[in-house]
Amino acid sequence: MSLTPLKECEVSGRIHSFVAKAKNLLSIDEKTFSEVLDTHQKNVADYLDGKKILSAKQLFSISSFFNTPIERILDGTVDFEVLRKQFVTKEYKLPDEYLIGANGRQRTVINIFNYVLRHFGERELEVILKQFQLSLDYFNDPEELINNKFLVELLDKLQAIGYAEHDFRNMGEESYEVNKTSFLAGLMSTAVSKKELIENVFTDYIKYYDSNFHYKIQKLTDTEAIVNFHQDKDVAEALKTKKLGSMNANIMKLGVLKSLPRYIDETDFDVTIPKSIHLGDSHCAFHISYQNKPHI
Amino acid sequence: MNKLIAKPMNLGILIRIIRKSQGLTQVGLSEILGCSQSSISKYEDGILEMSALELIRFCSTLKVPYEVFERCYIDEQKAADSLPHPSTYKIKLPRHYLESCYYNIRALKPLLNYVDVHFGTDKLNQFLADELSVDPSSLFVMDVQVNDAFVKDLIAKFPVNKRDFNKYLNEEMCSFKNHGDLHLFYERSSDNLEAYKRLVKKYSLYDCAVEASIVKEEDNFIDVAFKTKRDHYLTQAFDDYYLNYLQGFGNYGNKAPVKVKHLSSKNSQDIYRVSYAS
Repeated sequence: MSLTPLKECEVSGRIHSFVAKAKNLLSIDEKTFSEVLDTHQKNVADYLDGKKILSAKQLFSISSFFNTPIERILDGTVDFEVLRKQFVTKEYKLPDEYLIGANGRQRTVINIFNYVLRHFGERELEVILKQFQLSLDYFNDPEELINNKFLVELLDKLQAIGYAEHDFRNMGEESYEVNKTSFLAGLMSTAVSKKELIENVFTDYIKYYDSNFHYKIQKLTDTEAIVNFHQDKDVAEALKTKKLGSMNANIMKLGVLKSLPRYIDETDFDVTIPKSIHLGDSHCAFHISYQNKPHI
Repeated sequence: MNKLIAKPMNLGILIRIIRKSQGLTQVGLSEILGCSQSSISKYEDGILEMSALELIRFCSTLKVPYEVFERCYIDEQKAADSLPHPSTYKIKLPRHYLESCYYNIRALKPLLNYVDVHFGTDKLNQFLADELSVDPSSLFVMDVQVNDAFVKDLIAKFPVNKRDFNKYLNEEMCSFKNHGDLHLFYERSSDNLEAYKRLVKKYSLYDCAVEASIVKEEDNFIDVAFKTKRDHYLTQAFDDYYLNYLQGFGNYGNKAPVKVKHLSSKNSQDIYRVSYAS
């Protein structure tokens, strides 16, 4: 569906309206803005008045400079308060929509960012964070709280731009690289077998991973385990969702689970997701299989 | 405000790739965009710039997310738009930064944060990129390894005021900003002295240039030995580092604070007494 002439007029108006408002709000001087537009200072007014036509490159520059996605500029949903805090007062507090029902730590999303950085580079991550009008400045402390909504939206966004199931699984697996020197890793390394590792993780340490769900070991033998998990009703209610999390998030957790034996220098678990609320089941479950050998 | 502005790269090439992937000819695309076929040809060859409205029409009609173009942009001031796996970061450094990599970024975070706060992010990033050939973004990955020479150059470039730094470090440690799981030492300890004992046992996880051990233990104090593998110049530069580092730990949380006193220094080994403040 192409844009009609009328829509083009609206679109053009929204771009100019955004630029004018943002430029005033953030007190951007003509010289700085001329650098954004890559033009001479004397031409800035013509661009702002619509006498000169913005090029595609200039639109991307504006979007990049104001850390605002083009989509939001076009549909008029830019959060100017976030913009003001980010640029003027340098307040990097996450928007309320990601703090309501915040029962998780930023550690998980920082792991995702690390994955994006390692495999696709800093520019990629900036572009992704821009979709949320955020930047890395908001993610300095792995212990800070953040809700499940952000994780779900982030993974959905990644999927929309081409990240596949193996990326989400690898994100989980590679969290080991980031966490291997953490205190939690030290605790996990004390397990003497894969079986004990599962028991420890899902009884004692799971609270450090995920408080949005309640995990329960249904079956634990020398070769396999089944772990069920149900969403926390209070969190789901706070986030006004019937199904907390997403399939992408479950696949990422699968990756984390798969790599857990690395903390005790053992080979990875084989993990599947036999049940998921996102596939119509009443709850989610992981099936974990392994060869249990004593850890020396 | 001094922000890097992304500059477009290969916009025309991407237009051509997307057009072909959707089975469109230049004529077909020109009808969609309402321009001539020769304009499309010039856009794709980078001779002519597409307007913002044409781009919006292109993306809207062909259902192409804007990020497709943005992800192919690079910041002009950065050398690369992708980073290798952390295990290969070292090869991006000059040879003299490769030997004896004692530090991971986690251990250097307080120092880097200090430089960041006192000298500015832009200056730090430019210095890292231009003079050390280190991609600033690699400092986001906590397990990237660097060596003493890196720290020495950093301090040479940004003269660190020892007094300010130690004050900053103390405050930083108190708030435990950027220190990940360290707070778990405290959650699992009845008081800060016990937390110290746990910390000493795991100290190598945070700073593998130092061997930490408890050399004496009484009811109301412990003596901790730190033996450094660092070069002499760094020991000099940071002769108060451990004292403040330790004192910072001692002030954390609501539990009874502890005080830290330097007892002796011999053969690259310093001994500190950690005792209850009261």
